[in-house]
Amino acid sequence: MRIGNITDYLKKEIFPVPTRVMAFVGLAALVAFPLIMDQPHILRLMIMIFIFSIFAASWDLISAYTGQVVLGHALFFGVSAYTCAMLNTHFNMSPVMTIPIGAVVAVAAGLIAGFPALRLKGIYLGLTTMAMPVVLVAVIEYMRSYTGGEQGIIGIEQLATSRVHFYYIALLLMVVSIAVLMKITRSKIGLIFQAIRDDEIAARASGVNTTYYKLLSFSLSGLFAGLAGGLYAHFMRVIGPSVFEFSFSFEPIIWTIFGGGASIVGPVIGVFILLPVVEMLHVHLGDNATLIYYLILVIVVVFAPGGVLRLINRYTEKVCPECMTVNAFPRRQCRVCSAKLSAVNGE
Amino acid sequence: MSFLQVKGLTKRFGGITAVNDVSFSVRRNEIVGLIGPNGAGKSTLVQMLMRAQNPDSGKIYFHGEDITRLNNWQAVHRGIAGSFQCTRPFRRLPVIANVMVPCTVRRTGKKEVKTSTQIQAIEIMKKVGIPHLAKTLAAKLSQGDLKRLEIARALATCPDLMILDEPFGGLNPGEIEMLSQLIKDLRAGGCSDSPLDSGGLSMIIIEHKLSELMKIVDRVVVLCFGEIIAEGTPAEVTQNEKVIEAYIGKEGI
Ligand SMILES: Nc1ncnc2c1ncn2[C@@H]1O[C@H](COP(=O)(O)OP(=O)(O)OP(=O)(O)O)[C@@H](O)[C@H]1O
Ligand SMILES: [Mg+2]
Repeated sequence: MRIGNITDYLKKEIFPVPTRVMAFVGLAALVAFPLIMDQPHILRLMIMIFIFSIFAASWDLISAYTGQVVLGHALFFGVSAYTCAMLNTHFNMSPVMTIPIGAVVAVAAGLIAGFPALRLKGIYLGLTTMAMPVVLVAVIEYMRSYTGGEQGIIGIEQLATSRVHFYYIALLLMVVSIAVLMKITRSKIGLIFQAIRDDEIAARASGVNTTYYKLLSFSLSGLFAGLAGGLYAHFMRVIGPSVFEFSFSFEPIIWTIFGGGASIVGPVIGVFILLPVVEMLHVHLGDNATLIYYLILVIVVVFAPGGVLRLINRYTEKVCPECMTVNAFPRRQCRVCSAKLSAVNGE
Repeated sequence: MSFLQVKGLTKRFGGITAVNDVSFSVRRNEIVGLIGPNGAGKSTLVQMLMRAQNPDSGKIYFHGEDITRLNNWQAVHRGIAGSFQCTRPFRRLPVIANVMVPCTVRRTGKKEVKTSTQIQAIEIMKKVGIPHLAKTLAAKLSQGDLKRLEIARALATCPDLMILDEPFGGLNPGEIEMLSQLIKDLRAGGCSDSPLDSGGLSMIIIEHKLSELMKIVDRVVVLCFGEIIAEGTPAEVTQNEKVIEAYIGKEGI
């Protein structure tokens, strides 16, 4: 009966939609990947991709969905990474404990970062949040006996005994995080986040407690960014103040814009494409890599303003104007309500 | 105990006193027209009632409760909803999602029937006459449709008092006719699944199209330079010397 339900679901909801087939096949490939590929540096790259996918999606939630310009997202990542590192090295706490605690601390950081958002908007909020990781670097410097100062913290325990083991843990956590984030954005909460993004005053006039929902968005974003940071610390086994660098705050923005914002899946696609690209560019081009990287970004942003995801969607599927069901692109009739689908994509 | 009571409300912007010591009240089930020349302070006054702006002094009582210091969203939950003169849609959301936002957060009464917010939103869109636009992005609407969306969204909060700031702006005569009828129906029936027992709702309507406005209001308050210069039935007000001089003009409406 159970099996029947699953095959039924696959037949009805997955196979008719190309992008869902792609996601399904992609996921299956990721599960099988370590069986056919055991080169350590490739596995390492994949694990980084999983961790940063969570990180990027968490930025998508707060900024692209809720409209709160966060330019210091490294704060949540770094705060959690440091919490994990310190708890593990000073108190011998196991990663199973430190990662959840790190995520909770990142939630607290989210609430603190969310406070200015109750007053500030747009670039002003962006600049305020951008300053926060800088403050943290100073704090780390000041409390060097606990944080290791510039040297950072070394000898953090691995979360898993083998790289393959870590691969599957990270993959699982990424899939769960993305699923939860998608669930949130498609729920009533997600609707309210988007209303706040589009017009905060109108949201308030509609009865939305904007203070509560903004802080909620900051906490949720902090939670997932914190999860990513904790995984990062226990994977790298060494962290330093560099986790608070600007590049750590800007990368999730680049990944999200490249992949397609306000979609949760977009930033994940961004990470899956850009991280290997960066790696390859560095191997083959050395110092010119950064230049070429930014050139690629500019080209994509100019020619595919909605990001890669939008591009994929445009050429693979159509949304039924009547019932909003997603259909494969070649179809002429909606697979649910049989309404006529136009030849060109409506967006 | 009065339904809505305003006492000595004052609001200054720098040197300008936009609203100056205004007191008036609205009864349950009453439609009050708020008129006056451009810059008279009408929008500022109702924004304060909606709690979207803070008065410098004065008090606002709703159902006997002092709501002068409440937030905008708290006022909505007490039963005051308003539309903005300049429409403020959630631009990147479809019309139905725009209307669902207030449905998802609105206060729930004992009597409320458990229906999905989607169905509630569709009901409200039907009332306002925009069900066919459900899936259209709000950014793509015409001015007239935006006005109706604004009303739909206010209605979706299930208000006891609804404030409309120039609802007829940008509407053609046919649409005005429809909206007038809707306003009359609302007063009679209120929000169908209102948690309140009263049924009907009260309204404050700001409008420059006086001939249309006078057909639907019970009472008119005239504001000029932030002060109330006249108050009464449509007939009384249109014959008032001061009002003719300050606003309507000799040729009438
Ligand atoms: N946010 C603001 N800052 C400064 N001055 C303002 C502000 N809002 C309104 N005013 C001023 O207050 C006065 C009243 O404005 P208000 O918008 O309330 O008038 P109104 O009666 O609604 O006019 P209209 O019929 O043109 O809509 C005007 O002189 C206006 O310039
Ligand atoms: Mg006005």
